Amino acid sequence: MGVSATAHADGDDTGSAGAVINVNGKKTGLYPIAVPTVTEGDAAAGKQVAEIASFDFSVAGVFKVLDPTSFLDTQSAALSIDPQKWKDVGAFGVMKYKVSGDAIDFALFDVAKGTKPVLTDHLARKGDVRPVVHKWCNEVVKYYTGEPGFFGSKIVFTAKGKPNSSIVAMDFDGANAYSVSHNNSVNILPSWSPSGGQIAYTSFMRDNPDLYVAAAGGGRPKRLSAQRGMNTGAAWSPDGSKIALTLSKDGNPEIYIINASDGSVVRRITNDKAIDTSPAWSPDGSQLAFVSDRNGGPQIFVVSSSGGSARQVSTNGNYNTTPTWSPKAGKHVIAYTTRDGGSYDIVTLDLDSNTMTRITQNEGQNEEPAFAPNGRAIAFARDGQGVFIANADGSGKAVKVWSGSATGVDWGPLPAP
Amino acid sequence: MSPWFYIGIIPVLSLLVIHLMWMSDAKASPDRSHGAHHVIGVVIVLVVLVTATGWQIVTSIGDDGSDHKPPLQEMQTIEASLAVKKTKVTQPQKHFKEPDPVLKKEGVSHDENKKVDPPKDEKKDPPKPNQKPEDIKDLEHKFHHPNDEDDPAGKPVTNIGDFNGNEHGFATETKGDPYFQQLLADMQYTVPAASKDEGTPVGCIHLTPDGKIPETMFMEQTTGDYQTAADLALKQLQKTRNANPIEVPDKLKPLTTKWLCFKFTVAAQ
Repeated sequence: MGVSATAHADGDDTGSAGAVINVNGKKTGLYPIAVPTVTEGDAAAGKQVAEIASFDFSVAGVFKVLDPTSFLDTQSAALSIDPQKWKDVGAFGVMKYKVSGDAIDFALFDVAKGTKPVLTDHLARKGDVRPVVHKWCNEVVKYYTGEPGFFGSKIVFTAKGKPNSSIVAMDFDGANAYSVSHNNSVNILPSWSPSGGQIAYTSFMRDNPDLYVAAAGGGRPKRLSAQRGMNTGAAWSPDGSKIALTLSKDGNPEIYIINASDGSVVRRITNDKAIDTSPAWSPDGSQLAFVSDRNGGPQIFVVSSSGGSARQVSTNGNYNTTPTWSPKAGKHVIAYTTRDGGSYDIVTLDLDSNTMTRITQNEGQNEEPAFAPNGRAIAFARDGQGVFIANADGSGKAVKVWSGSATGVDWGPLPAP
Repeated sequence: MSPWFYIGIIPVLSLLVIHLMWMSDAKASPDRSHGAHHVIGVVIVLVVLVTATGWQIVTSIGDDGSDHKPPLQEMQTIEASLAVKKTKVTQPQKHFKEPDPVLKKEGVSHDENKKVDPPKDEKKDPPKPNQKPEDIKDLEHKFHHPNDEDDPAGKPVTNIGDFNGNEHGFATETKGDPYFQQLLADMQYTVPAASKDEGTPVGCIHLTPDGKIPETMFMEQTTGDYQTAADLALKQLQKTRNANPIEVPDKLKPLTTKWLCFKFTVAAQ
């Protein structure tokens, strides 16, 4: 906000106005939205709809969900609003809904536009209201941002156990968690395929850290890469045809690209006496970010996916690891783990403007970030606490979606429309 | 295998070969004398070769009768050298005679005809041309700005209320009067990033001399989120100022009889 030119203090030529001051605002911050709980009809389902929608909006990276205790309007199922009552509580948008036996009617209101909804939908439901509400919330996000929402997408991670660890997948909000790996070995570093149908992960089930690919729903995994030494840190290319990973078959850990179909080596990307790990594809598949200690401590480097010389992009501190690339087209933003003093935090780095944004601070040890498929949120593991989601622009507070000891987080693709 | 074995076996094998050659020659040629000469020549050559080979082998045998050398890394290294007094070797040197020392006589020039200049007084600068004591005043005029007086502000170029440049600055775009700046701060005007609108609301307040805001109104309204943002800003300002009014400065008192309006614009992204 700022003030620029104003004029006419005497007000003679501005009618009754003594002075006009320009107030220059800037579009920034979250959009205040109200989600009143509807208690008419199926009260239990109505309460569940409000809870799910409020959570979705709170982690969307777009909205600020208003505290329902301040609401003045009646919480009826009528798909209409009294705009002034919602303005008075600071709402810009209001979501109303009506739950029936086999469907839910949704309506979105812009308080400045009056009583007529700006968006409506009638969605059939079969029992669980969760997928229906996620779908509606995706429509709301698209109305405001023009981008698809990530509600209904899934997250996969390593659930650390003693002595073993397993690959666990779940809805982005922590619901419906299930185990992908079914062995009593160490399973780490999962990566969800762009199509959503497969999950690649490294397992020690045959002693060597080999790369396996399993159906996203679980099932018997197929051993894709069993080179001597490490076969770790798999990252699917955006088109799903290739996988970048770390192989140490020649002794030193280097970045390679293999075919996702048969595991054959396509090309070697790095060739340095240092340790090169944790590859991550750029959204257009032209570049790879990875970690190397070739200049001393571990830092983030970027290299063409066809090979060549790498350039260091992280310059803060002396310990930066686990890069992941924002999927936003046209943007060149990387999130990674950085060590700041004695703590590990998540930051993003805009490679175009060289602007760094802190995602976590003074909230435990945070690592292994993964962008939501629309780039508006970041999931990460907090040591000993679980999996969290935070807004990718650094606003707001991270929300826990899974409790436990987790690491190696990856976010699956957008849900089918 | 012992080297004595080679010393014994080589002559035996040689004689066997010679015998075989002689037998084949005898069959091929009836001339036995030619074959005998051939055998004698070969025997002489063999004796020489066997003797040389045997001598070479014997000289390579160690004291323990074995020719196996220990691995190099197991051998003890003994540093041994003879102390020999060496004469110092130097590069060829040039021989030259040092000049005889020159004894100077104090106070006496070696050049009896040379005239000695009187000592210079270096502190004294040569007089500058045309410099007179009264020229100091001219220097003051030369280096001092004619208006270098204790009046830095000069004449005001704006009037009160002309916010293009008030008495607090001369920038083309200023922060405005501090009182207005405080009003804007109390508005807490924010436009959410996801807002959808295109218009520019103009909202006004009625400011009383004691700083309260009894009423607000909009001269121009939009039908989108910008209007909501402006509406909230004016309500917030009214709430804050009615709770904690700040008296309007005398120079701005004329504004309390009219609407003070705010044009809510949103910067392009």
